[in-house]
Amino acid sequence: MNSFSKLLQVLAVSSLSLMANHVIAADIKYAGALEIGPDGTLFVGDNIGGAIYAFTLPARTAPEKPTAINVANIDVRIAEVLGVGANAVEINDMAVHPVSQEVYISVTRSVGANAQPAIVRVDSGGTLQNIKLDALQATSQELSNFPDNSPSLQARGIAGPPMVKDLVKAEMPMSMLAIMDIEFHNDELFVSGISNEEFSSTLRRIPFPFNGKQGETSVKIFHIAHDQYETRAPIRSMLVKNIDGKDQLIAAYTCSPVVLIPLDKITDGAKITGNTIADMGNGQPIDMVSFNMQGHEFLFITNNSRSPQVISVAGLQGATAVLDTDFKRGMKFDLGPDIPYGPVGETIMFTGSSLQIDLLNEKYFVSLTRDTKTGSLDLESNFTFFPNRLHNLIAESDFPGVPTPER
Amino acid sequence: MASMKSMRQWLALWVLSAIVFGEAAAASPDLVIPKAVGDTVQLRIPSFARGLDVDTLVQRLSIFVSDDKPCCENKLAISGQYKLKNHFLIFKPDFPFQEGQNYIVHTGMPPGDAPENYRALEFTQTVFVITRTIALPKAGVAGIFPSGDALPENTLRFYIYFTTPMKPQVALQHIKLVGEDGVADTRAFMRFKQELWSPDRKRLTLLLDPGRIKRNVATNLELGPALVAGKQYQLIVSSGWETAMGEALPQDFVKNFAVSDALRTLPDPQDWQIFAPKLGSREPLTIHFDRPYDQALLRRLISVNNSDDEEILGGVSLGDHETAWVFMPDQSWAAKNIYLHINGSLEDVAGNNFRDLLDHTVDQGSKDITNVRLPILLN
Repeated sequence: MNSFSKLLQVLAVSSLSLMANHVIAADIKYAGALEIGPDGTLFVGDNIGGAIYAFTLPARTAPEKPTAINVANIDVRIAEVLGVGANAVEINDMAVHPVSQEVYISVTRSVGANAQPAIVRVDSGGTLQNIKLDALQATSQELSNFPDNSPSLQARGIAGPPMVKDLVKAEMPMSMLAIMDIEFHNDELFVSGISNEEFSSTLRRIPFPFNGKQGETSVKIFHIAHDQYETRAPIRSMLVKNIDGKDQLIAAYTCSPVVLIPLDKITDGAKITGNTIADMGNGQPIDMVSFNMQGHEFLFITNNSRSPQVISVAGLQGATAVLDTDFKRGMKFDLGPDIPYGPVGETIMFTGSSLQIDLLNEKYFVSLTRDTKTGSLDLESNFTFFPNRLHNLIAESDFPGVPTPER
Repeated sequence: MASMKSMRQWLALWVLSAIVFGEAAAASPDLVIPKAVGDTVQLRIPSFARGLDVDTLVQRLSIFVSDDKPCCENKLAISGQYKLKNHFLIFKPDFPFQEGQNYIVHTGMPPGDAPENYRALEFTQTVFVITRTIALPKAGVAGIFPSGDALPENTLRFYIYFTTPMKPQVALQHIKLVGEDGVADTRAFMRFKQELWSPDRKRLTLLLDPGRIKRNVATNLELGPALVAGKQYQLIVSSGWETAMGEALPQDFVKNFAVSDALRTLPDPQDWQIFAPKLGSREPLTIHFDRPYDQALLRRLISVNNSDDEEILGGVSLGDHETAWVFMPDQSWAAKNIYLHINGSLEDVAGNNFRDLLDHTVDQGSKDITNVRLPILLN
């Protein structure tokens, strides 16, 4: 090795050690809900540690033009890269970096009794890369009031401080909050989740950069399809939009009302009633993505048991909030006259089941889709205006002897 | 001659690496494979290749997870870090190699792929596995709560305990609620983006859809409530569900239960029977409830305090299918006045807590209760 490359090597090593002084090793225990801020900060929900982590991702450049990313059998590919069998990988969430247009997927990697968090990036060439979380700068915010692991769970000795055998015998905490959705808006995070024990659902509001403060709000809603008031229903997915002149949270709930909550009402300790303006019908919303088409703003809402809903944001302006007094009693089903209710836009065709979806760029959605024919889980990109893969569709011209239509 | 000098240096390094890497044999192998969790894979770089940099050399060494499919054209290599040390290319995986998993090490490049004027390293495939030192528990369901054989119509939640972590995201393909007619109700449970596993990944929380609960309704189209009072049901965890390590559940686990009327009154300690222990003894403090409570919440949302509001330490056990709570103190009861400290988030099996019922058709207020503090007098 000549002296010049030796010099380069020395410089590289010393700058690395300079960086090492600023790196905070993340103590993250679970990589769940993902949200990437406009400047590329990666927010991750840690269900087990009960915290939100904010990772500074190294800067990456956007592709020259909007590119589709397609990786078949993405779950198998992720398992291969993480060095485990496909059974040992659970995909938790997916988010697209708004600048680099790369896809980030959060994963739980199970090994025997232990599990590790992992985040895998898929770049515009379809290459997978395991992200070394402990090499990134990170800050974190613990979520208040959870879990309520009271002292009875701690180890204790019969006479005196606990001995090693008592520590081993101590019950492991079993409760955790599954952080379902994180929404970044104007230097704040809105966080929704559901506990794996008590049925409770608090909407949290946390400033970023983290300063230790956070607010918790209880939201009650009138659920049209269920015909009941729910104080503890979990928000499945949410976005902030400006509606009727103010910033409001649009929240999609199970089965599946659409509720507006003005941000100025989301204050710490408040017990508020959300404004139910619509109900999409039976089924469970998964993701809510904002996209533009022909100059207009739309919401694309996926559901685990029905086709996606496309809702015009303009249609939400001036929507009326409803209560129990606006309806006859009784559970409402899709075939009944009341459902869908309100400005819910249209249901559209989508081949396969989308388990996770996000906007990739101005042309495409990217989705983790379960293929209905093969059962495989694929990372696939679809046009926003027609989110279907042609290989799933059969048209007349696929049959032998039928000429392909001329254009 | 220069080559004699480098030959000696090479020999010295060869011996040194043999010592450093703990090889007892006289000859240092070209490929060192892991024997324990945390070990690395090491490939000796022969002299003709030593001028190459790390980025070129890493293409010569890849490790893959081995399964029953042919390797390795359509597979991705395990992610890890490479470095050169003492003429060995060392691969350290991002996550340690684990016991019981087969791996394949690929070295070199097929001659056809080698760049011109360059002798390819030998192309080999080596399989290795790190012998298991810890036996895996047998796959099985350890239990289901609520454990009673009579559950209310508006039961909200089941906990399913397994002996070992299970393959995720297929739970609802393997868990069925079956009615008297033998037909499985596939829409009974709520599905979220993430399954509700415990931190140790052995307990699954299943929520019944609160919307599927019968109310006094004028019309009741088709789908109907998930549970109907007076009928019998089975909750079945079916065989074939694989653990995270790939072993399938050997048989179905069936919970049979009858359904009673819905629980629609707020939990209230006034409805509890409390049996106070004797002062000076180590007798248990027992509560008999008027209804079954949530098994997990019972274990952490009730505590016993002294009059200084310090917790009295002891062990909790549940009885009578979560209708009894028994507290055995670590020490004898020392004071006459103790206090039951109940967190208002404690739920019965229908999800009703001290503040409000899980659901109501008319806008009812909630009770503003954080905790309930109940004084108890010892005998």
